[in-house]
Amino acid sequence: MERAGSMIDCDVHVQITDVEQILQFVEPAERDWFRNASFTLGLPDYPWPNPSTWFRTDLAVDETGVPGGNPQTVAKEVLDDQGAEIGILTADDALSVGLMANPYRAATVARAHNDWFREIWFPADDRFRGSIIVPSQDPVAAVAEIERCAADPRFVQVLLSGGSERPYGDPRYLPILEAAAAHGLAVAVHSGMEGMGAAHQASGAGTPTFYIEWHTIGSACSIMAHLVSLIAHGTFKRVPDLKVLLIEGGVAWLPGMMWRLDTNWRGLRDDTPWVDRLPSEIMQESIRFATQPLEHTNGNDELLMQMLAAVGAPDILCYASDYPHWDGDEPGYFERRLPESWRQGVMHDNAVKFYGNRLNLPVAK
Amino acid sequence: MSEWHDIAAESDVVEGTPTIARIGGREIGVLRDPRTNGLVAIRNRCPHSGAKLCLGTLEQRIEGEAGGHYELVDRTVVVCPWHGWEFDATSGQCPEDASMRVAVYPVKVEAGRVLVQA
Repeated sequence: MERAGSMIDCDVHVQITDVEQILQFVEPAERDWFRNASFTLGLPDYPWPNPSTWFRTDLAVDETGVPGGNPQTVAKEVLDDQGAEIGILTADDALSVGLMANPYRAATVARAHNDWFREIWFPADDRFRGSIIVPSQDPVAAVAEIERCAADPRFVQVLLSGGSERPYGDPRYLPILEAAAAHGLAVAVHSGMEGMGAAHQASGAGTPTFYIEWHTIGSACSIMAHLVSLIAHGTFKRVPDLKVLLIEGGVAWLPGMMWRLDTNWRGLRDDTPWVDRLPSEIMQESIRFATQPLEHTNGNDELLMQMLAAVGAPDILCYASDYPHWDGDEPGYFERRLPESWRQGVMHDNAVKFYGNRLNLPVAK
Repeated sequence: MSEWHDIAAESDVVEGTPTIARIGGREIGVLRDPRTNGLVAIRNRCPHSGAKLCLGTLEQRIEGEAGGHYELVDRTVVVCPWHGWEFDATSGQCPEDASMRVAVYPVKVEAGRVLVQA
């Protein structure tokens, strides 16, 4: 269903349906290594397969049976059919590039994936914007990749995975965050890849057994950890221009987490004395949250919105569809769940403010 | 109209042990600041959750500019024994929460006696 007003879709997962799409941007000497890998491009794989399908089943598919792999089809399904003014392309399997055991191969994948966006996806529709993926296990190489890509105005952010070796406030990641901010790029952290490759386990209690456990706990907990870590390390004080978008970790927990963090900060501030403002204030100033999946509330939407309002939701939420995944939020239905006064901000304006000039909106005709 | 009240002999107010007096229905504690050796008079009730604040500690405030930087600054805080919230020993203000302030009182020593104005 198309939304009546314009909107920005902050999470469009394009799919690698054939590794040769990526390998065309890889040196010939490296290609066989990636072809021979047991999973796509040697990327870490999930130990928890989705029991049915990762994808919506109402979308066009190519000969591989996967949606989201054809630029013209994605433009039609996301931009035309759903009415997005801008679709921000995120990675899918390649989100885990920063967790590969081999940082050199990771740098190769990141570089090729970014070139794939630049050479294949961006030219297909001028409403596409994209994410720079980086070998975050090697911050020097990650910064070099950001420097290489930043001049292309169609890239709007650096994308990191929820699964990580340490939460992103850790100083090892600071050069990556600084490089992004220096170029006006946001940093997006997309949940997923917890427990994969070099990442720590999903959940704080060991390896989950089922996909439902990972999808409920793993993807939310990593986002919570990055949120708290970035604030505790004083990252936004060190990098005042840094903007962070947290994607697909849910939001219903956010009020409780911020209240908990604010409370703990009052009593534990000696450990992090550089945090000189309420964590919730820092969050509202520098961090945004992609909305999908907005938790279903068993009839308690009004209560959810009251809770979210307490942490500034009308100004910090940015719509995301999660196309073409099975649990995406259809924009028309999603928008109707929001209080009317929030809708323009959440569906459009908040993302415009967040990405700023990098969004390079089309000039109105 | 607040008046000066004789609380204790100055020599009895020692570091680490609060001297508690009840004045006008309120418990007020006098504490020895280990950093300045001066005296602090403060209400014995934490505005956060009601703990007996004077059973906490007087500590030199730690601040920091950026990750990994710790510095002792020229400021004493009363640290609540329950949740660790800090209150400026001079103003009573919680630096972390503008809505939280505990009453502090003028205190002086005359003829070896500790006097508190409340």
